[in-house]
Amino acid sequence: MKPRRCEQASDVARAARTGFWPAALEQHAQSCPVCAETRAVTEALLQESMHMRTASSAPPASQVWLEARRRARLHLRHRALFWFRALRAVACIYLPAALLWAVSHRTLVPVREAWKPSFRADFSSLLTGPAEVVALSGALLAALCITMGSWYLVREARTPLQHSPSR
Amino acid sequence: MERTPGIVSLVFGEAQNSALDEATFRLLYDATAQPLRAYLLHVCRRPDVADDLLQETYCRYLLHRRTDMDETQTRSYLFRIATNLMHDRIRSRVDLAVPEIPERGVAPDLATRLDVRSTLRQLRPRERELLWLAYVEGMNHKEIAAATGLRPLSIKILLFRARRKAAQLLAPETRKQTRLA
Repeated sequence: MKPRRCEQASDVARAARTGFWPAALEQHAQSCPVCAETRAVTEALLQESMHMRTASSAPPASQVWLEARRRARLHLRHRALFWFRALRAVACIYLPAALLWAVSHRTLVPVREAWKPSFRADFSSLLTGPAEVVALSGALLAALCITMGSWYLVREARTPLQHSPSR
Repeated sequence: MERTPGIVSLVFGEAQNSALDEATFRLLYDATAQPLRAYLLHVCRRPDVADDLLQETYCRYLLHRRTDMDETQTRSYLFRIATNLMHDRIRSRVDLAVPEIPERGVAPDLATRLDVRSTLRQLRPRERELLWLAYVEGMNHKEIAAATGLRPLSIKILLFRARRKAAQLLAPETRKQTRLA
């Protein structure tokens, strides 16, 4: 059974990569089955690697850079959309609830002839206790969503789809 | 592993400072793109897929990169992203076997090279990954673990098996049998 490991296998691989073979190491690589295996595999892979690097090259950096900028903008837009969608969800919950609450409380208020000023006064006087907390939390949530969404939109606008001036 | 800039860093402008300008990116790209592409090409065998994954790798890196990474960590991080993307592509059952890498020109050792390539193609993607990272990129077990997401202890045994399999396949008698088949 062949041994599994040899302490010098990494040195053999390095020598195969660099092409610098100290005499002792070369002699060892010929006698040690693990190192012989390592050498054969490394040389085959390096041959493949050399061919790949000469046969074709990577796309230009500028192309990748622009694509990355485009995706960064898209990413920021998605984040902005998340907050605006959250705002819509908050509105879908709060608006019907606020409407129901207003209608139900309006019926309790006695109808007067000069109803407009009194309605305003009555409405504000009703907005106390739990209703005040709920209304305030709704307003804060809406403000948070608008702020965050706008923040990402501003960042998107500050990520231009063009090369840097220093290029 | 991936970390997006938090709201605090965004508000206090850390993200702005960490923004990579195009010139710096070009330096990083020139230093890392070619080995990364060779790795992708070696494992997935398709130049179009390799280019696509390479672009995606850098896009993700720019989007999620950490500012506290040194050169070695950046290299491992890029290989990690590329490996993950390649696994996703393999899992999505996209045929990565065809078309073959095109040959440009006729080299004197073309037959040998094609022979070696067809031999290496018989290895599984994971085995090709490990062998490439260890023997072409010269990564140690810890770096391979960081690049592949495997445990360092597993690397040792998996690499041993992959190397043994590759050596058996590369043995002259096995290659002769493969040619005859």
